[in-house]
Amino acid sequence: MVGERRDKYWPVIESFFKEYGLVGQHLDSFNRFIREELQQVVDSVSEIKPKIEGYTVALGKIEVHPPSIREADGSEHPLYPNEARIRNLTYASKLLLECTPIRRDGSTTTRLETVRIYIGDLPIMLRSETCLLHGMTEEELIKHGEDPKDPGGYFIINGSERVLVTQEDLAPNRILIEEASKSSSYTHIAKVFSTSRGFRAPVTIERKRTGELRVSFPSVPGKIPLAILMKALGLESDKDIADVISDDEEIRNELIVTIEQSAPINAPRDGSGGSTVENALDFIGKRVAVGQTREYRLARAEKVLDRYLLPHIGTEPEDRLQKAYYLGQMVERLLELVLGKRQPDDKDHYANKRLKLSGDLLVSLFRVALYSLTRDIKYQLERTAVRGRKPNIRTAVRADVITQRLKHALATGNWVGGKAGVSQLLDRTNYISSLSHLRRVVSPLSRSQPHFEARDLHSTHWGKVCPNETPEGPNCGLVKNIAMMAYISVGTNEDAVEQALMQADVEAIEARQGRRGAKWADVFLNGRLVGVHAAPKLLVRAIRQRRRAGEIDQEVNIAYYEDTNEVQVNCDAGRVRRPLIIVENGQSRLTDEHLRMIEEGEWTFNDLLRNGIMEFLDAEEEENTLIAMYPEDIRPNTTHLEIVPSTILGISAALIPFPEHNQSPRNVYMAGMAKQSVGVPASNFKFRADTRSHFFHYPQVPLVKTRAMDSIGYEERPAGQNFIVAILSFEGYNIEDALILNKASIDRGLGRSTFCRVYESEERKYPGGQEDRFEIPDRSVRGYRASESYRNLGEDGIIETEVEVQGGDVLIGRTSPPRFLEEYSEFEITSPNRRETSVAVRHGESGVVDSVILTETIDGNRLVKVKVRDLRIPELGDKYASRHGQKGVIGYLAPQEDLPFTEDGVVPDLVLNPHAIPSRMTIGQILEMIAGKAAAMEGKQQDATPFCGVTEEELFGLLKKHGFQHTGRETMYSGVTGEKLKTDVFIGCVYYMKLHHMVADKIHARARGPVQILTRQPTEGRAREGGLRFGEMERDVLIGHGAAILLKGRLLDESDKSTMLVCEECGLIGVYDRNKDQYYCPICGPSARISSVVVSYAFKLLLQEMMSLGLACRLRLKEMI
Amino acid sequence: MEVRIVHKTENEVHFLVEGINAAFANALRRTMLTRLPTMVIDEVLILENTSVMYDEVLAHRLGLVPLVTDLTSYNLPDECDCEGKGCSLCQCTLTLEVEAGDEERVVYSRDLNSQNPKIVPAADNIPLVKLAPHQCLIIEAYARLGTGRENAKFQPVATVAYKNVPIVSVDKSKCDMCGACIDVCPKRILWNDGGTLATQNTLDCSLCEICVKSCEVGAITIDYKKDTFLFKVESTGALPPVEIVERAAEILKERIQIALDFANSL
Repeated sequence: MVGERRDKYWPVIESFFKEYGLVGQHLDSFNRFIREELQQVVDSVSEIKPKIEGYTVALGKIEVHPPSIREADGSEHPLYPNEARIRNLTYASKLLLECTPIRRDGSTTTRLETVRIYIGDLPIMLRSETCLLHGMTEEELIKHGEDPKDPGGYFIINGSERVLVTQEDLAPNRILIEEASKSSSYTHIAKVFSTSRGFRAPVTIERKRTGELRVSFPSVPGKIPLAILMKALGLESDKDIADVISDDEEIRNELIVTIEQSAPINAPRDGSGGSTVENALDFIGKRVAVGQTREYRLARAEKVLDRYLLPHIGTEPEDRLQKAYYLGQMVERLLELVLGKRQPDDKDHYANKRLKLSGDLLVSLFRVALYSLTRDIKYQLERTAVRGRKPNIRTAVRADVITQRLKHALATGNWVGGKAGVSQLLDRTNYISSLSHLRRVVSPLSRSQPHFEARDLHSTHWGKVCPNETPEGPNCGLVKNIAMMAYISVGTNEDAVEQALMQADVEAIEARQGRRGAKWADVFLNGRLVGVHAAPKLLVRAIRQRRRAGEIDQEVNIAYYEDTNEVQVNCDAGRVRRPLIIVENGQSRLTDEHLRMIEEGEWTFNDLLRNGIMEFLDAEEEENTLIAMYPEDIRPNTTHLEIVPSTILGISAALIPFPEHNQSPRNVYMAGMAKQSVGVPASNFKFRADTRSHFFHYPQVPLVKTRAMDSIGYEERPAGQNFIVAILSFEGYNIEDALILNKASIDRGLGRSTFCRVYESEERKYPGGQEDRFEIPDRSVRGYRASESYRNLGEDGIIETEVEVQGGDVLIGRTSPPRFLEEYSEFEITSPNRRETSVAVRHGESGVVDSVILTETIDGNRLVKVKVRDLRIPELGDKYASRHGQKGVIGYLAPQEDLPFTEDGVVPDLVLNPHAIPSRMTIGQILEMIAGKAAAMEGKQQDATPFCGVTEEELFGLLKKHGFQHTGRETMYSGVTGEKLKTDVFIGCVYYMKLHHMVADKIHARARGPVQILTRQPTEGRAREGGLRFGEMERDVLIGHGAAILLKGRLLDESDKSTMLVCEECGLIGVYDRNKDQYYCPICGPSARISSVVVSYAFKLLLQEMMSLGLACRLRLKEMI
Repeated sequence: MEVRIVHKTENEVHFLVEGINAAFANALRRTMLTRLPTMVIDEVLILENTSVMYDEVLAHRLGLVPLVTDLTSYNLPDECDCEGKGCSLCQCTLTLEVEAGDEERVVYSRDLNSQNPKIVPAADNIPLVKLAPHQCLIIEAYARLGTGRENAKFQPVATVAYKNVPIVSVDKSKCDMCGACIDVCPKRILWNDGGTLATQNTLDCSLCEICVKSCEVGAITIDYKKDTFLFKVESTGALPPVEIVERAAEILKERIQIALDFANSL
């Protein structure tokens, strides 16, 4: 059987997930952040130097404690995530930093006692090494109110679960050359985003039509001729510059214009006017320090070159030559492109992309937070020093600087560097939507521009990014999801790799004075030119061998580009990599014996890596491979073997049965809809208080499954049911994607779900000792509702459980102190006049109070959360979808006796219109129906994994075996007439999902209701009990019909009709003086003739607004006849 | 009209009816589905429920438990003297009182205690809810008569269906014994009887005519008797299957009479 052979390596995939989990990339990134990067950030600051004579503070070790919380009463205890969720707390750890004050007295320095100071709270990622849940067994997790299958990988900020969405970025420190657009004044551009310690410094070299080359980099206004910059960096002679760039004559010829540009700054032969380097530096200095002395200019220029030019190479004066060599490399590439010796770089190639995971994002955030803390400490220390006191580091640290910075960024998603939407509320619609959210990747490209290339599926996405799972619409292709087996590198030590390269006979670039030579291959490490090598193929092979042998870190990837003769070595973080089986001499290294060991649990996935049987490849190294899809495809020159091809899909798309039989957009739709299906979001739903959540009754394991579901755990948290589906037209009630559901099936519990909404309220304290109170409001309270609204409240002002409530019923009775304190009056306090601030059930919703949680916030305020549940029985208009992008709304609930039946008495649960199939070409659904039927008859799930599931022939055989036509069609009898239907009907089992768009949430109508205060027009929207808009087109209809009275009725009488007083003399608004019972015009006086005119209130408002602008809008009144 | 029972077990009966048309057969089917009352829990008073299952879900599950119905001693609520308020003549109370000890415990339909020993769950091993240690249920449920028109839970039948009785005929003069039809028939109606095509168990034929399509020479014709129907009735356990058919026939007769009376009065 083909199926058995093709998914032979599934156990390897299962062992992969066992090792890395479904959100391993976030956890590993965060763990690395805690373990190494946090300390590195502290070390990069290393010292606080306040402006106090002889006093500095050295920063030492930073420590992260287990998550804990300090209560309002000062007690402290460990904090578990579910407590944080329920009590609206932040799941965070204390950070302690070692600070050593250093006193300098003349030549003696004394290190004072090192103190460990609490510097703030760091939010902790769930299930990371620092998380209290780390390493817990299922039982322990359940005891702590967690869902054992919850993947973690998110944070809890003020009680809400927040995901740091992985950000896709152009790879830093890599030279990208491209042709400039026709309209610009440049022909070609070389660009590099030099990034060091969170500072991004783009350097571009542009080639003008004349052939001159100009460089631009941060903090220097305008563009500098290349040759001058090179000379400023220390390459004095023109020959040196040319040598550093290339030894190819053609390319050297291209340089003439550029080099001539720098002629004026060359040191004159007579020795007057300074050296070439100084002149070049001065050229730059004149731009960055206009109008300063020459000395100052030179110093500034040197500083700018060190600090802002290619900072990833180094920021010291010694690195200048290196920078020149790097620029030379850039120019060579640029000119090669000009001469047609090279193709422009592909920006969308995934080797040129890096993903910033939560750890990387936190590093940049923490760095900024720490900087502001050190600034604050400095300020505090200086302040105490100015007052003449001894500076005390302990009192100078304010812990909430870091706490608030981190919390605020995580809570709002506004990251440093102006990025918004970095942290998002975790999607808890169902288990899949949560997982998919944690594996999401967003590109920073703007949504408004087309960017077709960036949105397209690129061939390097294979196995790294899901080809199907992307939103439709403006974000299409910009928001992606990583594929099942993709894993993101966290980065390793670069020095070790450089050493290994040097051992492998890479000649350092310094040793060659930057002369690379055309014959030698350039060797780059993380985009930095480290040297050259004479036999790149040997180098690459040697490095690979050493990696497989475990001598070099697993994370290192190496690739040799034959066409451009360069070697790229990468060991940085953020590369998307995927595991492959190594093939050598036409032999897969993964033997059946290994497979057995994996299957029996003797070996883990890491053992395969350690033994050089499998390896992770990034997009760059994949360029050097020939990967066989299946073992039988292995040829002598094959280098790798895919594990299972269906792992190119992401979590959501992997749920589709037979996706390879569907038209691809259908799979995209399904991948989107799977995230809207109502299921079991988490098994601890009883202990959660999400504002809105859905819970599916009787979720079923799909009869037709994919193998990926086992690894994902879909069958433990399913979100659908197996429906008996007949493809049939029925009385026209399923036209245009409507669905007909069997009423009896619904009576028996099909498609039911519960909707829960949590209402919350807090007893806040106000300045002045006033506070909110939970109570049944008194009649005297301002804003008192009808007394029956409060009927279900207990004496504590909070509703009882299992009470049926409807829109407007108060759940939490609360009163607040008056907003403005009244002026002190001589008499006693007249009336406290508290305000009613109760929380009531939303308008139009109803349900049963499920649970009431009474707890305390971090400030010691009482906090109440009330969960109201609502049973949702399928009704007309509810939305359902199969797993093939076939969505529809219920158009009719047919009584069972009216529906057609088969001779065995099978009645469909759902009748699908035949028109839904041909144009959409969802053959997968047809196959699922057959497979579902076969599975039901066989009593066994059918495997519909893409590329390796059951075949049609096998399914046909199964159907026949059970006495059905192999086509899946059956003779049916009409339930209405009783006659046999003329043609047989295609009927089978399909897994249908209930989508969370339900009529009960959307149904809305009003006859009368609230109006807006400003315009007095009816409010808009269901939430505000608004009216339905009588819009422009509707207006046109009435005009077209000449129905003037009706039109006036809609737009005036039933909207914002009001009367306005108008002075007939001046045409301005008149006034009625109630005291004197007199009409007068503010301009013409009491004698004026004032008329009352019916107008729209919005029109009156317009007039008054224009009057406020100084316009006199006069109405000319005439008698209406 | 002639009725012949083909197959009968405790909960199932298959019978052939001869001499009726499709409309009548369907009327009988629909009557069984929708008009024949059974006793089912319809109102639930939940005094205590500390299980994880929501009250409304538990109530729904209780409603789906088929109860052995005694049609003679109970009235339909509409026809009862109490005018539907609920009295001992139209209502039966069942109680469910379970508390889990230190172990988890599954509550089954057999844990329901009925006021009337005749009105008990048709199957005693229907799981209702699983209780965690020390969770507790105290429930009072009221069963009443109702029909499938109101709610599917009142249906006395798990399945009721009929089929036309097939006539499979082979034109032996045309048949070239290619065997294609034998391979293709999922019900194995056709077989090779020593060189000639023969039929067997023709009652099983599902009229799919796949054999006709496979026969290139057109030797097979499938037809069905217009006046004979094979019924398959499967009871939920509320009533014995034969009684379901008999009572449904009576109800149908009454209703036809009403229709006739009305027609005659015009």
